[in-house]
Amino acid sequence: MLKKYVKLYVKFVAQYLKVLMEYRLDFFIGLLGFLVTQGVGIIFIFIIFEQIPSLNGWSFNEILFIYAFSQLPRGLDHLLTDNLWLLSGRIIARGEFDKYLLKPINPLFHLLAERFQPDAIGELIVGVMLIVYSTINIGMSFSFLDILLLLLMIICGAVIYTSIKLFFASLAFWIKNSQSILWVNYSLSDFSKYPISIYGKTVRLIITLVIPFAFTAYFPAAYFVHKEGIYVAIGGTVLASILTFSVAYYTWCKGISVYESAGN
Amino acid sequence: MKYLAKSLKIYLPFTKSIIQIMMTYRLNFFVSVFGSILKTFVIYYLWKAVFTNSTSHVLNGFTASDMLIYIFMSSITAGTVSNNTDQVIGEEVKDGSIAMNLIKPINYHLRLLFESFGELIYGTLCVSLPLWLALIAYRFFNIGELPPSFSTIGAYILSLIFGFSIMFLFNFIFGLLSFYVTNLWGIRQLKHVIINLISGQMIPLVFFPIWLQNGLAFLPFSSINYIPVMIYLNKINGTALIRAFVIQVFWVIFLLVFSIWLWKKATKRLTILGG
Repeated sequence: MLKKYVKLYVKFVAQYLKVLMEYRLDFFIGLLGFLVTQGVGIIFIFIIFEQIPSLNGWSFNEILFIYAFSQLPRGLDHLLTDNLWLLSGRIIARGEFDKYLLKPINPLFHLLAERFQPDAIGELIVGVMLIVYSTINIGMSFSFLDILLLLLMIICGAVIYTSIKLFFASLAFWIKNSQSILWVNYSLSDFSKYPISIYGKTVRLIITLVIPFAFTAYFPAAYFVHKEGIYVAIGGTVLASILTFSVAYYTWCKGISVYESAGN
Repeated sequence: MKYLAKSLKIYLPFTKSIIQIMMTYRLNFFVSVFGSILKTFVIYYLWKAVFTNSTSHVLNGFTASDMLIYIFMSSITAGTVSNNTDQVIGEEVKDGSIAMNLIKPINYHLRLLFESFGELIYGTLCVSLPLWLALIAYRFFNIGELPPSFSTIGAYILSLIFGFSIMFLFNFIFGLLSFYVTNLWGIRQLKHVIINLISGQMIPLVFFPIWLQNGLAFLPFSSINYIPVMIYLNKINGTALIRAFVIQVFWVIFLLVFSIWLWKKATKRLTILGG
């Protein structure tokens, strides 16, 4: 079963890469776009630290560490689940969703596998480079177990991203086009790149308990620099990923059951 | 005068039609505005934390309260001057409709300018003005601060008009790139991020390293955002104000001449497939 899906996924990606090779220049421009976006974010942090030695008790390298960490779940989700944007925008509105229901594979798998977004490699490269750079400067040492935990946290973070996207994209089953709603909620992820202590209470509450983007970067990263305890940071992240995914997948299944094709 | 009235009669419908289109797609428009407001708040919180963590009250001439106004006013300014002129050109080149528009007895520059007026009017009335009033009201009821004097607001609006012209001409020139590159989406993204930084939208330019500030003095981007907002904050006044206007006018004229030259050059090499 799993083997079949892995094999299928490789086939899907190979197809997509062929399309991509046709538009190589666009790919590099897209990649450059993400690299520069990250670069600008780092310049901002750099300029801020010209003025102050530490931000609410966080040093430059520690802030850089959260920022870098935030790129990884985001990039991973971006790489694999970009088709959710199209689901929210046009797949349902144009009645193109039929094809996912007609194949003998899980419709969610089919939807996600269909599109592969290598632009995200820009985010991943920057993220990995900055994590290495900041951990060396902080003088952190990682045991083998820490690295496993780091990977687990990145995956959980990516699951939270995907779940939030899946939930808001699935609303399109009812309202036809949910791209704007998805976009606004996705924008909230910007708040997760910095220590949450800088925000007001309402913002903190929203990004921890309502749309839990804080668990995609701030909490796990804070654990590794010893600013948050293991239960809140690691336990919270795992719990948040399970909960968000359950809600999102339930909504998606409900959505499919009310789906009516465009018909003609 | 008669000529002006005639042109207005020809080109005003373009302004009107853009306003109508924006009203039709208002949900998407307001959602994107809301997204920008969220991003502005992230920046605002960061600066707020910087000031609480700093030992001095004034950083590069900015107090915490100056910075609050700066961040929100620069966001409002950026929203007001922004326009989709480059995208319009890009799409017309892509689907070939530019050929028809070149045949019509309508000046392409002017048509796009009047279309961008539509974006300007709609954006100002529905977003910039309400947000500005909200900012003024917030400051008044919170700390009893009065809005800037009429002369400061007047100078800001004049500077904003120059900023808008520069942004329009820059986007026009940028859109002409689509005569040379087929897909403009990625480059537009890149442009957006870079302008965001070097026009001073997130960080007042005085916070940049000196060498970068000196370099940016030779580019038009500070005229788009930084200069108007600094005028609003009354940090540019007296002879410096005159100098700022001269710089802005220089860029308007320079970009106008350059865009006309490039337009002539680009249309010569235009090839439309089929038709």
